[in-house]
Amino acid sequence: MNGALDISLWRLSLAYLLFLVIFIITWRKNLRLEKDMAVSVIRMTVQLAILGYILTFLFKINLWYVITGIYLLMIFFASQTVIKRSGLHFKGMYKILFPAILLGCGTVLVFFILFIVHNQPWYDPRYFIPLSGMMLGNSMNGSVLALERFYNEINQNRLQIETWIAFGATAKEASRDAFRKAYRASLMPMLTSMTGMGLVFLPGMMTGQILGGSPPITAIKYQIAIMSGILTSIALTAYIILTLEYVHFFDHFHLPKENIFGLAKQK
Amino acid sequence: MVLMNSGTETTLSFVLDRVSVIRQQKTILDRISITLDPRTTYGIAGPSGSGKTTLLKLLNVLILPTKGSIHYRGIPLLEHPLENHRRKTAMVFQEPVLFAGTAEDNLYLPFQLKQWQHEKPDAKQMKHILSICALPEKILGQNVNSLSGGEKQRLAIARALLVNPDVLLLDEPTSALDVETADRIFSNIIRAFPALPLVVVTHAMELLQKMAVKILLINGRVESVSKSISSKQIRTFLRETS
Repeated sequence: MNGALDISLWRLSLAYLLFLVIFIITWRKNLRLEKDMAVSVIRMTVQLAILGYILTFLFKINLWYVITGIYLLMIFFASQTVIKRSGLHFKGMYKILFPAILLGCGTVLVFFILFIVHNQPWYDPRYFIPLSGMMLGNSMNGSVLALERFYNEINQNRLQIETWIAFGATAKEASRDAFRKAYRASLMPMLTSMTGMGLVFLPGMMTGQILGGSPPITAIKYQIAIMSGILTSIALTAYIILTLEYVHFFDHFHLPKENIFGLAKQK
Repeated sequence: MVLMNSGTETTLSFVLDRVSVIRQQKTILDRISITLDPRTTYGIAGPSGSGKTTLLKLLNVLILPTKGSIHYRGIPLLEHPLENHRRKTAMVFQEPVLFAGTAEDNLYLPFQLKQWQHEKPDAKQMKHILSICALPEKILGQNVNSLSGGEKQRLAIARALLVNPDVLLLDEPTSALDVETADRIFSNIIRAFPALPLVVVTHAMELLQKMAVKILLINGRVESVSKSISSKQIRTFLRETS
């Protein structure tokens, strides 16, 4: 591998000109997105700069317990992000999300590293960090979509849920349709992206590898493998979260919790 | 009757003792004490917001009392197997809740639940219930979106009858029906299932008069429980309290 051509700092600064163009358009057209754009660009720059130093450090020390610790920290932040972005701040939510993401993504990661990539040592940060990051990031998005959809489906279909419960259904049976839709919602963006992959766009990881000097066939093999890993980790994480989240949405009597969904219509 | 239990098994004995339902500091039912006796039909009336639907939902455990106790057949309500109790005290909601699909799909819906799949009614039972609810057989293949409000309401009643309930709870079941059809259906139900206790929330005076006992509610409290109250007295009560 020859490695990608380095971009000097002043050339990189030219990239910010692109941001400036859309910033000006947004500002002139009064689209009220300038602040969000500025915050996002600044955050991305700072976060990636810090990440650059952290990765350099990790590649140098190469210790399994540090890498594992970083992974757990990433899951912690992912759980927090899911809570924040889904807007569902329930007591004990974290106790469900952390183990669900750990189990959903961790299982796939272990399988991926031990049997597919087979890198030595298993904790080699050059593989471990980017692979786990891709799985975690996508599973986090999938989890937010699943939770949001699950909540909305139950909230908007209270009468249907109540009807099922009146037939003698358990909470799980009554919300089976909501579960199905939420699970589907979590996977749809990735399934759509997979459909267009190679035809409409070149995936980021593959592009990175090709720029880094890998032969296209190697890059494609990695891409196929990582897509299967990402899809499985999203599916597994969303499934675990939706299965466990019943305790937050329904009470012991299989009724949607009033403190979460508000009151049902009463006369 | 083919579908209904008979004899003492159908005895209805809900005993509510000083039951209150309070939600968000609002008292919906206020220390209600009432006994719903076996083999009796009950009509509940009262102004909007008097707690009629809440009272029905309490019996089906779709709402839990904030205070007080409810016994059913001599046992605290919550000690009964919950899912079985809910199914056997079949509830028909004011707004008929139908799911996408045909009328037949909706009638078989309660039998999609694993534990009751073996109770799926046969064609003869289905035909019998449809005739009670004044629904033609051809309705089975129709999409529920094409049905009128009255047909939807009758379909919901038919679905509740198909689960072979011990008690039938109905919330404004005839709001979309004309007086004659409503009268016909309830005469059919009472004739076909004489031992089936009905608890009906309604504003329809004709239907109320069909029920043996009339319960009048106001502001979450029982104003009267009477077998002999006249339509005129009920109308006066509703006019004065609305």
